[in-house]
Amino acid sequence: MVPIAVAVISNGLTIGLIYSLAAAGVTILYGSIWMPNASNGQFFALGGIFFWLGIRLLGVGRSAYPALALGTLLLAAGVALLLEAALFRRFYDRADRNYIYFILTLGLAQVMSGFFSVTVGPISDAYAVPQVVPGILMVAGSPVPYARIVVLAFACLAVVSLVVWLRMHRIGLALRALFQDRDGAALRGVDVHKVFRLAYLLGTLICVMAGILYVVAFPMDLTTGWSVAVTTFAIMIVGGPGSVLGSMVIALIFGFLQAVVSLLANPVLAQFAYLIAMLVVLVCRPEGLFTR
Amino acid sequence: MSPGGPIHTLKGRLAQLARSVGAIFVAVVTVGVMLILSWNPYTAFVLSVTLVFAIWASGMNLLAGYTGQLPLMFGGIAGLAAYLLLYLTETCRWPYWLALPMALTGAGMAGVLLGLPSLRLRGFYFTLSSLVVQLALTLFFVVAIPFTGGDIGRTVQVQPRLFGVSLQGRYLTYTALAILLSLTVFLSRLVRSHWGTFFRAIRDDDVLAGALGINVTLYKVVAFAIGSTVAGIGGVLYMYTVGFISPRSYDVLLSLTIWLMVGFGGRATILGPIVGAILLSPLPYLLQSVYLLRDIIYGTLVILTMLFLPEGIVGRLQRRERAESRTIQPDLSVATSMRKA
Amino acid sequence: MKGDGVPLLRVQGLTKRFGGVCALRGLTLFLREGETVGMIGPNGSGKSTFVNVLSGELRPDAGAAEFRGKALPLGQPHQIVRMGIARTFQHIRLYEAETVWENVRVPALAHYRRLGLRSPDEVVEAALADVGLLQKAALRAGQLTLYEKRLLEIAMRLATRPQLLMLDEPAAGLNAEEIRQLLAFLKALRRRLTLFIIEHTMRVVVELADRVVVLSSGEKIAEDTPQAILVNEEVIRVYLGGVNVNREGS
Repeated sequence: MVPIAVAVISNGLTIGLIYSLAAAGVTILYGSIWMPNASNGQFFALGGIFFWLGIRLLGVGRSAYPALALGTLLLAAGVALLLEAALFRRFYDRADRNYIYFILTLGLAQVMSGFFSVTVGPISDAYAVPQVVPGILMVAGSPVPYARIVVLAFACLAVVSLVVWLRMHRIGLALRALFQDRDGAALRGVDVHKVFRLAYLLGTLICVMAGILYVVAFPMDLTTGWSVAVTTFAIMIVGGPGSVLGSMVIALIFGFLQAVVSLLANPVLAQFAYLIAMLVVLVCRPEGLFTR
Repeated sequence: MSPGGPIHTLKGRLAQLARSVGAIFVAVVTVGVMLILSWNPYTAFVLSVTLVFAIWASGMNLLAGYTGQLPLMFGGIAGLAAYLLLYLTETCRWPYWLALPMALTGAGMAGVLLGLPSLRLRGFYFTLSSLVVQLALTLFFVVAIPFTGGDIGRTVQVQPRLFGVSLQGRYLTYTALAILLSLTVFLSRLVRSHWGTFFRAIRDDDVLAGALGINVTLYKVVAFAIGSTVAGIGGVLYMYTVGFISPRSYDVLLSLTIWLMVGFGGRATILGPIVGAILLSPLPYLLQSVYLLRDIIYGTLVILTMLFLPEGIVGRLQRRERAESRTIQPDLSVATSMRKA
Repeated sequence: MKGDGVPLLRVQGLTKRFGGVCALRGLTLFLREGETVGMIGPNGSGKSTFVNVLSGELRPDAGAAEFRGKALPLGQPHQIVRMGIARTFQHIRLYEAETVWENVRVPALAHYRRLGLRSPDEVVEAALADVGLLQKAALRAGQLTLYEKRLLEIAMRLATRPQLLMLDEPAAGLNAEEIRQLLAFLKALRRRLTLFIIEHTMRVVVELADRVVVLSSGEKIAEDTPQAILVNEEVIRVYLGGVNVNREGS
């Protein structure tokens, strides 16, 4: 019994924290720019795939993993800035931009997913990173890989830093002001467009970071991007698009749910649960559970 | 639709006549070309697929163009009809004249039931809930193996027969063509009737429509029912054209592709979706190497459409035409034509 | 004609909450046929919420409403319109891309059969003639002036042949001359219909209303003739203190 509990906790916590990051990314984008980003899953995949490519093609060694992660983030940032300038910037002031962004990012997700199938697909269809730290720790009779603990630690650190930053740093506060009231923020001298650009960069990079963490802990394939997109949307809708913290809480719950379901039954059923939860919330309480 | 009232000038009447004759001529030529093309089995196949997409696009146009909703669950409903028909004819061994209406009614009802809760949602939230339903349907197709055969897919064993003729190859193409033509006539009648006026009123401002006494929910449900049934018709035709069915054939990418054709060719016009289908659906089949890049190409087209062509090709042409005609239209014609005996 | 005793609308204990805010608290109100009743109050006092509940846009959390003795089908806008209650919106809502004629044709199509007429065009022509927009029937609604747009909105409601017409701030944004014209029009209209007018422009309320209801924080704090309301201490304190009461002049 206890070994199972340990497995569930370690899996659930890891996945939950990774989902927290990805969901935070999506919520920030929707809450501040009003952009429902359907391509977030593909950026998640991008993080994982580029990281994996660095190891597989460039032969990057374990000690250089942090540098590789940084390199991946920089590359992704470049892509994000390009997309922002080419696609998203022009719609910042439109009233119906959420619908436009949704379709645009759906198209973008399709392009990215196709791009990955064509470029990386032929090399391999599963992307697994060799253990960051070899070895296993026995916890109450259950084996927990050190690699998993490393990922857990980093994920925890990332989540906490994000929360702290949003509450403390000048830009984080500006983002939160935008969340609450866009026109009021503009009146108080906040350069709305610049903050939008920052929000897009931040929200996207958080998803990329989550993807890197994911691929270090679990193997990834070409469908991961889509299932993560569904899950993070579900988390955002259920938690409420107005609350980053709320979405993080829901993400942890979903993570545990997934760990339990994967153990007992077909993991695909977890997806069903997310979809139903999303639909129920959309119909009964569209503002989510945590929005005031 | 018409800017003022019935057209009474001779010039206006002649123009209208010319337009109808022109339309009929174009239709006859198009049908003729299609009949010739369908002689070769390969072109017949591509033609069939194009016709199916034209049917689908017309159905989605009713929902997206006329009632202002973007139903991303369109593909799933199409798949539901196809799987249902396959199940009824091959597993339950029902005859076609019974199984087909059953499958289509099932699709129509499923569309209404699944769309019903989201009727109160607007814009993005409606689109999102529709997406959720689509994803759930795809998941269901993958998981319900006894009903669907799972992710591997199934080949179609029993071909439909009509009056003793097996509907395969070019006969299937003729059937698809006949269906498209009747659907087009039906839709253009619908759009010109009071239904069309109310649909557009709901699309442009459903709160206002309700405040004017229009039963918004009823019209949305009807639009859903018709749209879903058309999705089902296309789904069934597609299954027989390809001869194979799998959950991936009716997933969210299909809904997006169909939407793309509507958006590209022109929402809220009758011909627009057909033009969009003709322009976009033969693409992957005509260029085999391009097939691998299908996702990238369609995704890019979705992006480009959203960026540059909000009303589609046909829509933009019509808008220019309407802008020109308005300057000719005199104010007085309305008042004088309203003189009742 | 005024207040001949036939009760048209009875509202009892209407309550509506939005999250933590109580927009309407147990509002009770009676309207008699032929009356013109005005409703005033500071922003956020619940005036528009009241109209939204009565018209079916919102469902109340508590309370009941009756129209001619029959229970109002709360939450069903189109059924309420069919019963004879029509309302306009605070912000202009029109089909801006369609012509004036087409705009009125929409409700006419929905109701002409119920009204026993053979063609929607009769209804459209009558409604447009009523508001004086027949000459502009072929213009796009978006090309009208603000005042003409308000008239068009009223024409669209007239096409539903209502018995009670609720107007939400019809004078907002109009200049003095337009307000004068609006008053003349409404004075003629009120002979045919029961009118319920929400307004901030006191001149409209004073010249048109038989009775004024004052709302504050979702509650009725006064209900009396316009003259009495103007000197009511609490009303002045809560609302009129800052409002320019202009009865004469341009």
